[in-house]
Amino acid sequence: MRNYELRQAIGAFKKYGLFSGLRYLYYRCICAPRLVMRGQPIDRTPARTDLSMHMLFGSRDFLMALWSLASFYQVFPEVGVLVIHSDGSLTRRQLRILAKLLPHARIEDTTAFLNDYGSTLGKYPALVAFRRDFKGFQAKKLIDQYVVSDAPYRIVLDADMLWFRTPDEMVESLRSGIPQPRMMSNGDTVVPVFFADGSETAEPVSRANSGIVMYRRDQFSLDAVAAYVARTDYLNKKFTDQACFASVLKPILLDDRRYCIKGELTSEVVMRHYTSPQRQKFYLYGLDRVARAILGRYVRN
Amino acid sequence: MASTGWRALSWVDMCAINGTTKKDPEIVGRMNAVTAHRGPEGSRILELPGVTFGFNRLAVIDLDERSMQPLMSASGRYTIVCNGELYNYRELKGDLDGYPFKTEGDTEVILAGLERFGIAFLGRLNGMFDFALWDAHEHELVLVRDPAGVKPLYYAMHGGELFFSTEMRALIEAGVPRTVDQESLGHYLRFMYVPKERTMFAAIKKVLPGHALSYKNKTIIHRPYHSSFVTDILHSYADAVAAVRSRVSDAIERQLVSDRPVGVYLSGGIDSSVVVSQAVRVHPNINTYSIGFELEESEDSQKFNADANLARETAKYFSTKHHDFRLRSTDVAELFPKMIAALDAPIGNATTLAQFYLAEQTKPTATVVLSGEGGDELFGGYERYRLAHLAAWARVPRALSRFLPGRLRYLGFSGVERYLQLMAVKDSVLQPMYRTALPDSRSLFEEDFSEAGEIVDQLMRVDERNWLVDEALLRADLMSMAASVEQRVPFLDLEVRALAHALPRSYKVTGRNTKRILKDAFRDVLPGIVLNQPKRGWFSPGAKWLRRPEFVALTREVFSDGYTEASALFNLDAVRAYESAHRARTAYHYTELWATLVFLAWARRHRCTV
Repeated sequence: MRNYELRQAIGAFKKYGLFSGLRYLYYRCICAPRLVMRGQPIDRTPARTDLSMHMLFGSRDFLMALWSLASFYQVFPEVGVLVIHSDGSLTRRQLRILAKLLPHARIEDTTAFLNDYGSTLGKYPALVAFRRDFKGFQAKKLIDQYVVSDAPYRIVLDADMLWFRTPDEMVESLRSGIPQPRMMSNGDTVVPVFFADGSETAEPVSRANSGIVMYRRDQFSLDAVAAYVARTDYLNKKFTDQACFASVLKPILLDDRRYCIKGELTSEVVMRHYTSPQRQKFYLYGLDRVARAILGRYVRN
Repeated sequence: MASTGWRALSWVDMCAINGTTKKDPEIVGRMNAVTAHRGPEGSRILELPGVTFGFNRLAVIDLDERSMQPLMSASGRYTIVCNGELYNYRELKGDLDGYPFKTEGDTEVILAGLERFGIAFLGRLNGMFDFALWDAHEHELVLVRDPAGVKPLYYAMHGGELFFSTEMRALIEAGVPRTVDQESLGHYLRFMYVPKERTMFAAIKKVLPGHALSYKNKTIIHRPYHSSFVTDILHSYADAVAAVRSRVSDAIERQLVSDRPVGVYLSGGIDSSVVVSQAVRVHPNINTYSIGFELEESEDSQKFNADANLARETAKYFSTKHHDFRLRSTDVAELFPKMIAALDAPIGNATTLAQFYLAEQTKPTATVVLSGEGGDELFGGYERYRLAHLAAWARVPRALSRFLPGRLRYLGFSGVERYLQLMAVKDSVLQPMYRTALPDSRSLFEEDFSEAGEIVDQLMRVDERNWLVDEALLRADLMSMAASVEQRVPFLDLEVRALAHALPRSYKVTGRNTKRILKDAFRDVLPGIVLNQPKRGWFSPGAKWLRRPEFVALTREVFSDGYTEASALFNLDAVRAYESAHRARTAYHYTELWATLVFLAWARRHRCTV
């Protein structure tokens, strides 16, 4: 077990107690890898060529991303082309697994992005500099998904989420041509972003979460992204992608009781986003809900 | 029979679609004429640049002329002829605001959806249908068949043009060669139906379920399209039970909607009893129908009528208006030629006769009937699934299994081998009857078994894709349509199908139980006699009929030299020897004799060549 995983496991024992710690180990180390061991595709054939679905992850979140996608495919009826944005850390074995489990997916290496697509950003030298100099994943998530696909509709998803029910609002919006962009909500939590000039993002923008971003291509604008980036002090790591997405797209926020970050997994919950501080809960209070449906024969009654 | 009050499902339920890329209304007129039994209430031909469409209509709901097909989309880009119905067209219509609908029917919804969403819209259609679509912009003909394969659709290339129809007889009428496909005949003799895309005619092919065939610039491209029906993640077995109850009940309720009398075919098994249990909530005194056989006591009357007797008890339990028909052995030989006339493709199952008789008897009191087809394949109803699961668990080595008695010896086989052992007539029995070498049937099914999953999942998948589509559903369609009765199959509603596919094997088949979740979902409403009955197939006393004097005269004629050109494909001395031995009870050759009898009678009827 690598250091990160070890820290997570120890954290599970510390935060949630002995029983939950053992439960975490079971789901993380025994149950979750079965998805890989099973070796069966988890995706579905894309029925829509006008929709691209994007997810960025690396080696650390590999297993989590597979489960997230497996649960997403289980409940989402409109299947577009999946683009996986590798952060460059995926091993050869992991790439082989992706090819087997997600045979219809396209994999884009974010480390090769500027070589492959840099010319597309020719009009935006500031964005090229931002994409090159800002080392966090946020720049990749924000820019790559827009540039690598021509699909008119797109959904950007985080890898640390589990899906439980069909997201009717998203499906309806997609079928109606996404009249207005949609993003997740942080619920009651407002996370203002401070700009270089000391000003901060307004309340609706500060409440958006980029776990889910859904928009029509013409609703997104690199000009607007460039203008937003120019106001930030990203070299001092003062940048979040969610505020930028929200600022550019001006989205409707999804109901935070159904697309949630905190709280009980009620029968209303469509999707839960297990953000960084609560990664252990992905395995403790999430995977147990979807494992049977996804693994089928591998989980005992 | 009262309608449910809201506007019914579709304008045009039963019909036949015909057409060709040739500009020839006269040929399409002839195709319409030979399929008029599917739609005797009107016929129409439409010539467009690049395609000629034909349509026969039987309006179950409304006779409005506006709904007559072919229909053209508002922009004039698409023109459609459609057979069947959509169950979710009202819901789909809600997403199509702004489209200038001219009818209240379902067919126009397909046009509107395709105009707005393109081909991806096909995945959202829930129903039993096939249709032909002309895209005037692309100059392309598209043939589409529903994902479950409830409705048949055939095509052929002839004289450089593409012909299509709901029935093969229309293609023959259009001049497509009548040559028997000998490979298909071999498969038919083994399985009693022709699986996959082949048909008994060498020149005719099926459009596969869930496929769209496009024809453009003289090139055919087959594309699977993917149903977009999904199901929520089911956290527990209890959640899954509730979901099955809800989706199956909704599907039955949806399919009960009709302005003409509705009934249910009741066998006394779990599936049809589930359908009745939910149907009586909408129509408390609904007509139910079952069929038994009038046999002499010495002919195991009890055994062959167990289902009909159980159906009678079940009907009494639900207080339905039950019609219990009995097919007399003396009438069977007389009925046989009529059944052959109705058979568009040969099906070597004697139950076809009973089904034909049942549809004829049903017609005066019901135009639409619901039945339980698909329940076994989706929810794991066959005993062989349970045995396969036990065998996988027990892991009996093949070398040892040959010493086991009876069916237990199959415990040593796996995958496609197990399937062939269970489903195919042995070559050692067939080959003496047949003049040429039997084809390789194994490769037909290997692809189905190459997909991952437990043996039970594989067997269910192969049954659903093959036997269900090319035998059971085809038989149901042909026999019911022969009497102008529409047979609906709520278990194959695409929402139910998506749910059943998402359920783990252990919810369906265990070492002790088959159809576990379906039984649990409806346990509180089904009578104990149904729940506790062992699983039986619905079978007819065909073996006994073959020994009756009336039938002996028929078989002698059919098995005589020169009865039909296709007789030359058989070693008739061997066939007659089998028949004699069967009649004398020195050997049991019912399966192969019945299949041969049906094929030869069918080949003569269609003037097949070899």
